[in-house]
Amino acid sequence: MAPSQAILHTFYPIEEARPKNFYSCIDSGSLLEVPQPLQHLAIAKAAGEGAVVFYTAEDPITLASQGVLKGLLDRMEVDGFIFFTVQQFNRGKEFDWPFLDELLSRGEVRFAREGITIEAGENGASSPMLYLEIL
Amino acid sequence: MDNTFQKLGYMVVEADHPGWLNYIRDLVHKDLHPFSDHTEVAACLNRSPHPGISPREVNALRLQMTQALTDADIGVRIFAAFHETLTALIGPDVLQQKNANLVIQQPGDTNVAPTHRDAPLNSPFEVVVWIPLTDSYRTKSMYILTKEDTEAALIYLKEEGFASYVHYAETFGMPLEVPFGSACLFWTGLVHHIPVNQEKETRWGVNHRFKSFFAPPGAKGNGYMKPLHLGTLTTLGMER
Repeated sequence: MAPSQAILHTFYPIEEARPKNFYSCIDSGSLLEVPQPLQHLAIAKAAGEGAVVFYTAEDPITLASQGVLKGLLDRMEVDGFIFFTVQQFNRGKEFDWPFLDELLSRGEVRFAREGITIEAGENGASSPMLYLEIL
Repeated sequence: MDNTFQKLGYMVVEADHPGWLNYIRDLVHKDLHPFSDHTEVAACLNRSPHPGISPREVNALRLQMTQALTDADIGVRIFAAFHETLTALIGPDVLQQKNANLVIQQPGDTNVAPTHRDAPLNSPFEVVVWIPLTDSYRTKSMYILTKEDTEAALIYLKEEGFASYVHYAETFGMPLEVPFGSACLFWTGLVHHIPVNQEKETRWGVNHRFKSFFAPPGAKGNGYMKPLHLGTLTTLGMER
């Protein structure tokens, strides 16, 4: 390793220096209440220093199952996912914990409206703030 | 106008006034010129951006050009280019989307929009004007499903999931063969699929949505629309 690279690595670990890339998942179930441009703004703010590199919205047919996002997962190379709201997981018969955990096995998950971040590898059910939102 | 649009949900038409499409293409070409070795417009678009330009730079270029097209109010030019056809479909009271959409699809770029339909998130009373700025063919294009095939695809989405839906769209979608100077006008309820461009040329295109001022909005509301033209009776009616 060249000396300059060693110094850089000492103070700024390379994996922390690169901005994170996020997949944005807007909530097509609440577009009348919160129009798409506002959802994009909220999600961009939730991305912080990171960048939203792609976004998708569910078709009304897949609103409860999040079938479009599930179908696209293997195509994605991102550091995490930002949803507009926790309620996007709550439109089926029950909260979709298995899918949340599937996403967490691939990256971190953020919820823009509620200001919640769950780190990659964590268990979704272990987030007290998420629990509060879906009580 | 024949009944093709009613029957299939889409039609490919030549511009009534193609000069406006040249105007739009020239706007794009003007910003692209520094990124290309080609001076002739069509060659410049087909061969640009250089393969060496990173996806992030291409996206930055796209955003810059999109803003320029929005500032130039290209919806007015697009409506003028297809004036007779669009007026026959929509009537005299017209809303158009506020922002321009520009697509740059380089050969081999896998970052494509997923298979989808615009309505019912957009209004089912809208028409999309899909305009290639380079000749579009085979995979340097878009696959569109007819009304009948859209119904079948949505059954696959509902009953078998997203992968079957995409497979259906890939299998039964019609690759649009649209030369520069023409456009595909399609109903927002149609499912469409963007293939990875496997040709040797870049696809450039714009798309723009129009609907009647009096038509109900979709789930997104009317916030992304603005008036383009209001007829005499409507103007009088609003004066009250």
